Amino acid sequence: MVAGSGKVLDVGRATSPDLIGTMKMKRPVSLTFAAVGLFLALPLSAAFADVAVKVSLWDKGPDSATMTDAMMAMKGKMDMKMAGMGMMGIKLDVQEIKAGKVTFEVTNDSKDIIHEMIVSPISATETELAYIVDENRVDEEKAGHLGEVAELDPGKGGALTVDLKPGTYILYCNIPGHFVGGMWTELNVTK
Amino acid sequence: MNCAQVLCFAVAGLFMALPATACFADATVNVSLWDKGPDSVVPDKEHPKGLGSDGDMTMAMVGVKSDVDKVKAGVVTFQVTNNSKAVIHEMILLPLPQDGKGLPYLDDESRVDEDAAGALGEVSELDPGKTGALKVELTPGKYLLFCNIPAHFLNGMWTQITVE
Repeated sequence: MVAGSGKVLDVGRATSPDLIGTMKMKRPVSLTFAAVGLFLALPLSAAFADVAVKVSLWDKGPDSATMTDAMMAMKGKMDMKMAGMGMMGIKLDVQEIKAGKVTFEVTNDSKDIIHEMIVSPISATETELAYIVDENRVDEEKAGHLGEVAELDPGKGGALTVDLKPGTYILYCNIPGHFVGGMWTELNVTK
Repeated sequence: MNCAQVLCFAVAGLFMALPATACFADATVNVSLWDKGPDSVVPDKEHPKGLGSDGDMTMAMVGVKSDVDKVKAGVVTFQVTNNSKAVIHEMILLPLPQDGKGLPYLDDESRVDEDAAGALGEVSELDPGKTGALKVELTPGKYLLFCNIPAHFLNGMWTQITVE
C-alpha cells in the first residue's frame, strides 16, 4: 500500500501541468482522457494479452546439488511425492492455466547455483522422461521440449513465451543432477 | 477539477506507468524463421553453410532474419515467428565462440551440440505460422541465432546479432 501510494503521488506531480491546463477548459479533459486511454490501451494489450506464469528456481544453498546422488535411484522416474521435498525445486504461482499464449517469467532465486527452465509436454505423471544416465540429465531432444531459458546465473531472470495446447507439461531444470534432485514441477493447461 | 477527476488521473497514470515500464524498457528483436518451401532443406554435407563454412549464403533456402543486427546490452526480447508454410523451425540463442572456431557439431545427428556451445535459451519447434518469444539479459558481445532442427544450421539457417 505504501509503495502504491508513493507511485500515485509521483504520477500526480508529473502530470500536474496537464491537470492545471484542463481546469481552465472543459473540452480538452475528454481529449486528455482519450489520449491517456490510447497510450494505456497499447501497453496493456501487449502486456496482459498472454497468460503469465511466475516461475521460481530455488535451492537451499551451495551444497544443494550434492544431495542429488542419493536420489539417483529414481533414474528420472517422476514421483510427485518427491517434488518439493528435495534441496532444490521449481515453484509456480499457478498450477493450472488456460490454453494459448503463455509467458513463463523465470527467476533464479538461488544465491549460489546456475539453474534453467525447460518446458516439455508429457502424457501423464507416470511418464518417464528420456534420461541420459551418464550425463545425469534428461534427453531434452527426445523428450520433445518446447523452449527454454537456459543457464541463469543466481538472481537473474528471463522469460519464454510459447503457445500451449491443453494437456500436461513438465517444467524442469536440466543442469546435470538437478532433475533427479527434484527440480521439476507440473503445469496443467486446460481448454 | 474535483477530487474524482484527480483520482481518475492518478489511477490512470498508475496503470499506465506499470505496463509501460514492463514493455518499453527492454529491447525487442523481431526474428523471422523462413524457408523457400517444403524441399528447402538439403543434406547438410552438400555445400555446407554453417558458421565458418565456405558455402554461399546467398544460395541458402532457409534462414533466420532479424529486424536489427545490433541491440543495446540489457534485457532483450526475441519475438520469433515461423514464417514457413511447411517446415517446423526453432530459434536458439548462444554466444558466438570467442576463438573464432566453428560450433561443436554432432555429425551423426546433423546438428549443433547446443549444450556444449552454451545455449542461452530457445523457442523450440514452432509449427508453421506459430510464434514464441524469449527474453534474456545479454552482456555486450556477438551472439548467434540459429535453428537446430537436423541439417538446418548447415543449410544456412543462422544469423548474428551484436550486443553493444
